[in-house]
Amino acid sequence: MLKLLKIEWLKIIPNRTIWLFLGIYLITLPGIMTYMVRFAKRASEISRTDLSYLSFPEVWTTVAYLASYFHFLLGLIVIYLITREFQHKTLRQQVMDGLSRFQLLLAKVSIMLALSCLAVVGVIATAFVTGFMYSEQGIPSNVYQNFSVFGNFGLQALCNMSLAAALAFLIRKTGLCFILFLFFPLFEKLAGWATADQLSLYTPKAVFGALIPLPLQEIAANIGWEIARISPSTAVALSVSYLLVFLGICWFSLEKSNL
Amino acid sequence: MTVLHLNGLSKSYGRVKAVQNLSLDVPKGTVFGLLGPNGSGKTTTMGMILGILNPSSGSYSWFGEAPSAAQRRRIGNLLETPNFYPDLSAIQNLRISCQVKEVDYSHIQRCLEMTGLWSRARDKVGTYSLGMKQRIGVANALLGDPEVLVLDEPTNGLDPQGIAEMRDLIIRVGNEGKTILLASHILDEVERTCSHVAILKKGQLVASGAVSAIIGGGIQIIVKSDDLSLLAAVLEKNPMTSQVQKSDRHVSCLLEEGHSSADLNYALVQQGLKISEIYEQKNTLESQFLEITK
Repeated sequence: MLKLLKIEWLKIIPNRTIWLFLGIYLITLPGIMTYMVRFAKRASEISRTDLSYLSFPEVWTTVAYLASYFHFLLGLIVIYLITREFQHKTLRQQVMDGLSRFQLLLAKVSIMLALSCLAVVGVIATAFVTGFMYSEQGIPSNVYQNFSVFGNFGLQALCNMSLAAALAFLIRKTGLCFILFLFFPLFEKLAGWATADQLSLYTPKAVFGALIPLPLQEIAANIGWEIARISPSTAVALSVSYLLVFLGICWFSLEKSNL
Repeated sequence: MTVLHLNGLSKSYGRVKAVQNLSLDVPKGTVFGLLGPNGSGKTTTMGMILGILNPSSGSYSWFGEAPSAAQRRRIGNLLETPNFYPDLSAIQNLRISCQVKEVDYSHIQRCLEMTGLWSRARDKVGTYSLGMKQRIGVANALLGDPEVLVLDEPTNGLDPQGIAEMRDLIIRVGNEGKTILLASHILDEVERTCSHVAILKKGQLVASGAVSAIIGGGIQIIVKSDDLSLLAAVLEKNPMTSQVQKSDRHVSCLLEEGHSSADLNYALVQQGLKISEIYEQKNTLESQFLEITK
């Protein structure tokens, strides 16, 4: 696995496009959070609203939830990494040179795991700084409450990337994969309208979304505004199932097709 | 000892049968030429034995064992066009190959020097000419000093000097006792470099064996006369000749062993024919190839 990760690393180091995507990903979230904290402070001064979602420990969930909207950037990186291999026929070269098709898949999974870890570290750092900026009283004793949300966040990132990888291995065209991946939630909605409403709760993106609880959920419930979602524990089980299905599609596509 | 054994290997794309029931043995230490016209199945065969195409039926084995990724690390390859990352330099690309093949980076400089590419080693591969890409493909094949080389049209895109260098390189590597499987359209090159050949036509094996056996030992005679029909008829009956063929400008035939062109000339004149020209033409791989694949 380490050897495969090293091979992937050698491909990434000189690639500006990937660093650009990663740069955008790592800069966007702290940027948005900084702006949001400033805005929220100003708003609270005027309206005296409750801003507990920006203080410890609620901030973990808030930032993880907001960060989950940027998973698409990681998906685009994965699509780019895989489709460019097909474009330059480099996967076939690596098979001829001595990698098995299973190792090709493992190499991509190792990169997805690494990106997932990077996302988790990034979001923890952002959440910590955000919480610290808002919590003027310092760090409370229950600071690590809800911290497990980052485990779900990592799984969510991995699941989204596995969907991107399945599309990339099946379709092999960068542009088409980008479009399908970005519009996937829309296709799910359309499928939900065409079938039973309840079914739309169990589509991949809906399940992945349910991994992170909505911030301010209690407040929303109090004013009678509830969003239908499956519970996080159900979402974990279903997400792992989807993850295995998507990786299975990658494996089947690699094993059965000519490179 | 057999390095590569093909047993009834077939590959179909829908209704197109690219390779049909191909059985072949490549002995160790040979420079083995795989010949055939365009679409005869050479590249498809190489794709299957290098693990990138799934055979429709049949099997193959390397070094007497079922194929595996670990075996492929012992085989240098160049299939069709070289496949590299254009935004990476030659060194960066070959580092990836070294990692895949589990070979030390120290091989990179030696292989790039052998293929005359060391001076451009730090340039991006995307800036290379077709010939230079071919050279880095060969350099990649040579990484790790593999026991076997599988080369598909290695002289593609090379200038005359590059072709001569590539031929010398193949001969030199072959002389080191390595096994080389070489597909090429340049039959003159194959005749000079290969010890054995297999000829494919429409996916089927039509001939295989040592180059000397394929070319044959017979001497072809070309004879010209005013009356080619009469000349052909006389040669048909002459016991010194066989395989008589008449064209618009001359009659060709094979001279049986123990006779010379002078003997034939004398016999024809004795029979009252006016011979304007008679000469020997040695069989070449090209002439035999064209005959076999006709």
